[in-house]
Amino acid sequence: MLSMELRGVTKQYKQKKAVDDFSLKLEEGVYGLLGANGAGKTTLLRMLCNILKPTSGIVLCNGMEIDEMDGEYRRILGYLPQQFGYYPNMTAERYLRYLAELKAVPPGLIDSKIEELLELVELSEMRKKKIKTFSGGMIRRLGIAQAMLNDPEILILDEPTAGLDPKERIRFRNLISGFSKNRIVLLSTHIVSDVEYIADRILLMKQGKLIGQGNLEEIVEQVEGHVWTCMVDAQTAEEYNRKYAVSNLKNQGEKVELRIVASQKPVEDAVSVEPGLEDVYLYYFEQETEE
Amino acid sequence: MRALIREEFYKIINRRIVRVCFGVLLLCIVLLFIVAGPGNERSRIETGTETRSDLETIRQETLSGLAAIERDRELAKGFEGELTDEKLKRMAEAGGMLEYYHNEESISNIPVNGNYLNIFLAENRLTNGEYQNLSDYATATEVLPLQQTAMGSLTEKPIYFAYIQGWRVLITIMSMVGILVSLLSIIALSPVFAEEYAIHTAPILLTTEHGKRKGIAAKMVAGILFSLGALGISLCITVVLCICCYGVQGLNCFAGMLDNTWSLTEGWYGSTSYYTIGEFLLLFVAVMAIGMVMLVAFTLFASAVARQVYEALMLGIVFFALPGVIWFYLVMGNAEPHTQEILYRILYCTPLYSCMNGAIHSAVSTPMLLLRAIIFLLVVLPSIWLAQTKYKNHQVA
Repeated sequence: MLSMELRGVTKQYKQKKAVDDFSLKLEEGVYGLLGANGAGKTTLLRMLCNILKPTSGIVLCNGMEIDEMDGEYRRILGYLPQQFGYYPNMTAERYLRYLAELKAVPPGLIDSKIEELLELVELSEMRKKKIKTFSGGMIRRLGIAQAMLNDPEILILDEPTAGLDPKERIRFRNLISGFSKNRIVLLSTHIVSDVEYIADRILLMKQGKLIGQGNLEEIVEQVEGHVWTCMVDAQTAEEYNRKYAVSNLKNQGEKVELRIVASQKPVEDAVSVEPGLEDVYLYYFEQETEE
Repeated sequence: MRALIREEFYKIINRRIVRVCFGVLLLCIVLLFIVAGPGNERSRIETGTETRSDLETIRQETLSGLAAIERDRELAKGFEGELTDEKLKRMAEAGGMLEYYHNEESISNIPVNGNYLNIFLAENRLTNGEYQNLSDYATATEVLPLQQTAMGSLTEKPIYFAYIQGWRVLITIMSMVGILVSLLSIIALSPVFAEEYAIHTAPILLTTEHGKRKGIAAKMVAGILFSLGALGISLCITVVLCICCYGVQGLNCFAGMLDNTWSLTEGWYGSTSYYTIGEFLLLFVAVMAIGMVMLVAFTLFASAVARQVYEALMLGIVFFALPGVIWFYLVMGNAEPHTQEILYRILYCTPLYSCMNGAIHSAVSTPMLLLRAIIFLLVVLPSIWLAQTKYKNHQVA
């Protein structure tokens, strides 16, 4: 059974630890890595792809260090970086063909694979167009297609849905769900709903550390009793919004319904409600500074 | 691997700046040929004398451009073959002796009746006249016995005569072509690795199965193929232009006739004077190609260590042009004779001087060829090794 393991992985830049003593075992399934900007998600994924060396610790694939596996590891790896690089003057088809050659896709399969993936990401009609003419969403979809060219057993996607519209995101989720059987898919995002729908397991990362993991129910359970709702007037709502982590604010006539994430009951008439993943995100990352 | 090389080659030539520069290069070749070739040709011949106002003057006919080439070819055609004393005399009769007008103001001698035959006799010092002696030039009256001349006495092989003006033009343009192709190579290959960092494609390429091995080798092979291909195409065009205008004869003449220097230098430098022109051209192309590979290797190294394309471009240009700066330093007499000697030897082995026909003319001794091989290996092997190591271990931070 396919597995990956991080043992005490740390990445330090001068005074700052981007990833701090991170240990984790991944087996087949879809993993959603959730964290605020600057939490160290991208650094962690780069180390998993062996394009960034950890300051300390090791990354293992099926019990072997990925650095030693070299080409063998890259053969089963698909990666979509956060900042997806492309050649503006190349056509989508040529770009995929080039990467298929680099990914050692058998020559006889290259055409059909490109055809299949362009179809999947709805870029078939754009195959002969230069990438520089593509919209942000189309470029992202091309990035997803290139990551899947070699049918990777380990698929690492850094912010795969950034720039996609709701329809494209739904299509992406379905694509990943269909693809993930017998594979490890790890995707990082701060779009909570993506993780909620796709991920079998959720990893919470904060300031370079793994602060929690589990399936959706287990994660949500962690903030049970910390989510509240209350009805207040507009002025008080504004005040609470500044004071507490408010996950939702809905006008109900003259009153405003607030959904507050707090360890303790924020106001006397607040009622405890069932938490969702967005509440979990707010609970853990509300204090995190945005990049 | 072949498919990867093809894709990398496509990436190089797909850049607009590369295509524009290549177009400019081809245009330069045509312009250079026109200026240094037909545009520079003059053929003057006496057609008799005439008397005007009691003054007897020589009547002359001057042709220029293609007409001059045509007449000089015709003049030379009658004497093509092995040179003999008798043939030299007949050449002097047919072409006349070269005469100069001495210009006091510019202290220079200007040929007044130059054609291919008498210029050949004068420049190769086959007559008793002084050639280009600025102050006391004396017009020749007779040709010398061949064995008394440097050309005749320095070789035991028969001396073949033919019209070789086209090959002279060719090697002049070849030097310029070599320099222009070198600059094109620096421009085209600086982005090979540096651009992958700059446009963030490196993280994707380096996570592919072949990205850290065959992918790097393909980039390097494509770079070398591009430069050698550009050099080959440019040289072929130049050769075709020269052959079309000047003809193909004279490849078996001594290369010493190209620049009229006759020496059998021994020791360090050697001389190509007694190679045939055909052999010299092959040697020149080979040395140029070796210089080009050195330049490609260094440019790829610069591309791998630079973060931005312009940094790689600057490094490449400095590497290529630095020998020119050192030469200037030596010309200014700033170095001890011994140091100067060593530096000159090294300069002759650099990519810049590998394009200079003068440097190759006098740098073909066994020690110089060995030195060239050593410098080639000292530049190419570390450059390639460092380039692939640097790129392979690129940290995406």
